[in-house]
Amino acid sequence: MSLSLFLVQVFNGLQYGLILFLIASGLTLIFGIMGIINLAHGAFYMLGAYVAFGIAQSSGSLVLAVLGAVATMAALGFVIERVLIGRLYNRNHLDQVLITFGLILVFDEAQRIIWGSDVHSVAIPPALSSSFQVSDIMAFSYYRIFVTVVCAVLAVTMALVIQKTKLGMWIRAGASNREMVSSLGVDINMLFALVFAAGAALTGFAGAISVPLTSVSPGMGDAIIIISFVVVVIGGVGSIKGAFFGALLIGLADTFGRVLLPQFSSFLVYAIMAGVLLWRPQGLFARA
Amino acid sequence: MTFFNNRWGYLIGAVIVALVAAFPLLKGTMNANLHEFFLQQITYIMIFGLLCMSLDLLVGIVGLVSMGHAAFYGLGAYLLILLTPQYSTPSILTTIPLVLGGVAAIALVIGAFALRTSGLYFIMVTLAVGQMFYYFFNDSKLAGGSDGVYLFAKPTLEIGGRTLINLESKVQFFYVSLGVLLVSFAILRLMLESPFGKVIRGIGINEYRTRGLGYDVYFYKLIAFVIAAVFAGLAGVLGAVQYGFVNPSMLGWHMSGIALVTVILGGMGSLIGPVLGAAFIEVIRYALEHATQHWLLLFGSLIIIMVLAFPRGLAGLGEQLAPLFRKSRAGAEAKPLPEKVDA
Amino acid sequence: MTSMTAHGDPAFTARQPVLETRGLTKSYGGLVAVNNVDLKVFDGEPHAIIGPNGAGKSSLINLLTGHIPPTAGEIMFGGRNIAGLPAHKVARLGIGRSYQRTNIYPSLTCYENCWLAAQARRHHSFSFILPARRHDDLHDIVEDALVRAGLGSRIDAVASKMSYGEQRQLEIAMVLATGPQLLALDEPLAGMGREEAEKVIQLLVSLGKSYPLLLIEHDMDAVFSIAHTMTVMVNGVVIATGPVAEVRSNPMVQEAYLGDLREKY
Repeated sequence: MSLSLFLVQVFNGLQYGLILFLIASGLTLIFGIMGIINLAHGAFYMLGAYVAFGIAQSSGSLVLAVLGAVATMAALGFVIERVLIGRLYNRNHLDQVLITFGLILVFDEAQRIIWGSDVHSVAIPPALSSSFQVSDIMAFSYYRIFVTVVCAVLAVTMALVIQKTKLGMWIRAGASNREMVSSLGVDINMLFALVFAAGAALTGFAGAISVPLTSVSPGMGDAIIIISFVVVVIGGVGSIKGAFFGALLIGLADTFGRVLLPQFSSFLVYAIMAGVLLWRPQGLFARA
Repeated sequence: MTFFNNRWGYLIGAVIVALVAAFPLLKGTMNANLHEFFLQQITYIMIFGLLCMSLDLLVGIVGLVSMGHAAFYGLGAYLLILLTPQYSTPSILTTIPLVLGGVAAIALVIGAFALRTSGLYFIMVTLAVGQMFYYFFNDSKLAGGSDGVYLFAKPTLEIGGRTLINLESKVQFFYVSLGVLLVSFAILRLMLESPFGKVIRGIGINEYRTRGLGYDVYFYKLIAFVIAAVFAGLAGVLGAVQYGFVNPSMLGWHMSGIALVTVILGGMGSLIGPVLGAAFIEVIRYALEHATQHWLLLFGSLIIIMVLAFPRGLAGLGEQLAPLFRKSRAGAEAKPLPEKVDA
Repeated sequence: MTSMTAHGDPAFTARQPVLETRGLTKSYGGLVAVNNVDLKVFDGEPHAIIGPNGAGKSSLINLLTGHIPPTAGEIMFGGRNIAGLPAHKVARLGIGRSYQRTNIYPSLTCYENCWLAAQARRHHSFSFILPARRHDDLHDIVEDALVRAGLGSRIDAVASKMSYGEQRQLEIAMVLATGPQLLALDEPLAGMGREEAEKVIQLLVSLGKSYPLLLIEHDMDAVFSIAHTMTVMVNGVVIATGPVAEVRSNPMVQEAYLGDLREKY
């Protein structure tokens, strides 16, 4: 592997890893704080992508499409939390699995009703459609660079919010001790709804911004949610740091796997998960 | 289901089995196409019921919520095709035991990893592993990829050159499926009364205490996991034979999810309840499918409403079905929380 | 008071403790829950461990029974160091443990609860076909354990339907059914009323005669009537150990713990 190919792959892996992080961080926080396993989290990715596709179709503006998708997913997440998820806090994992599984069926079918079963794509905005040549055959797409930078900025912002702000303190405290947060006088229901909505918005954003890279298709939520679960298992449930390193690890492994071991690339991710389970069954960054 | 443990329950069970068994005899009494359609549907319910029964062993007895159980169903189906020499007829005597052995071996490896985790992690890991097999068969050229693959010929049982069972016959296949379901039920029931069965039920009720008593909980769970996988694999073999065709959706998480819904709906921990649940789900599916093209929307909503409508969860109903040694009605309480190890 | 083991030449065999810890330590990061504890439990000398909340008693019993691994130190039992063995192996070696919070199979009957306990003493339970009730060698063990724990008349009662006191007795019956070499009981009287407690105290006194007994208990009166030896822990450290009467009059103990307790209770 030449150096330029290697660099391009590292870059692609980081870009994919950051997208995974946006999805997995919501998933892991929702579990860590609320104790909820949300199988339907991938639907926010899929719906975010379709909403963006819809807006881009009619307006022609990707910026508008992404903003619209984020707003829609935040609102949808908020409503779903209030109407459904909020009723599940005292239920066991089994009920949570069943209800969020039911949600997947509903969302998937709703998508088919609204947008049909075809695969669609959205063009990369002209301003970013060219690429940066590293060698004769290798190039960094400007759009990928843009996505990477935006995701990295979001990740850093999230880290700052969680580490430095009062809201972040509540979230961290909630992830380790729910009772403590309520005793601080925080409106726990509102905090939960906001975190859930934020998780949905981030995931919707990931879906929307990926549209020009991956196109939109009906099963896209299913595929990404499974990988996100793997990221959460590797990183440790409830750990943002774990989600970050897990996502980058899986992003890089998957990208390099496709190049180096194309026959086994789908296995590689699971092999890493198996290895982590052998070594540290509670994940790499599990809370003690 | 306590109901089925008393004398009346056995009687009613026997009547249901007799009615089902008599169905092929009704051939002359109705439209032939309709008869064949019902024959197919009932056969499928028995096969799907066997899958749900095997999942119930994990969910209802051992307390392991698996979201990847359909992987073993699909593996049974795929292995039947992969282990049959090309263009030949699989033998019930040799090929099928080989298939089940293969499923057991794979389940042993998967279980050894997955059971290092518990609770939420176990759900996520089984889900991930199930999808791993889905993508494996979906992406690889080994068995037709996403298009699936056909079974060249249906299995037969030949002894001394005489064909005793030929599953090409829909009626024979119907009776074989019924027989497999009944024998599987009998075996699992017998197993639950054995010392091993007591231990896995104990794990389901209070795992922490079971460990404290001196049981190596991990190994008991692993064996139960493998047993459940083998019965799921058996259902998968029947599933492949019924339609003569296998595709990746047999392994996917939608299949696992629907099986899980069926187990809860039918009543956890009773083994027979999930079979009745399978009949119920199939009827609903049929009704919805014919009512609207977008039946999954209604089906998903129905699942949500049903789980929400029972404040203690449908699972709460299932937990009442835990009589382990006795045949009377048992008062069921919520599981005691494991004692926290404090600092 | 120095008693010799009934058999063996006192000139040659020093008294062998059934259970002995040497330098047993458990720390969580900076917090040392159990600090360098040396403990000896002898047959015929029921041994109570007392101490205020957070003294490390629960951590100690969790260490002894393999529920948590020690950071350092040895636990000698049955002639070997069992430190670091998992809970199920420790149970198999013969340390029978009861739990502070009732830890039974609520939906099963007393008989079934104890059956699972008795079955645990078998080499394994990977027997799949023959119904468990046909393995009737366990039947006598189960009945014996229930009778000894005072539940002879409640054999077929469903555990969750019994009174709290009876559930605590069942907890002990289950330990007996495992055929233990040593009883490690974690606050067997916790949460009991006077009358119920009195019954269990009598039970523990009689058990102390047939089994080596290690007891964690808050109730002072109970400790004085059951135990022969007493160890006092404060902040993870043993501050006194010896015959009950001696430790009781130890001024350091009086100050550090007993006085404090009198105020509290």
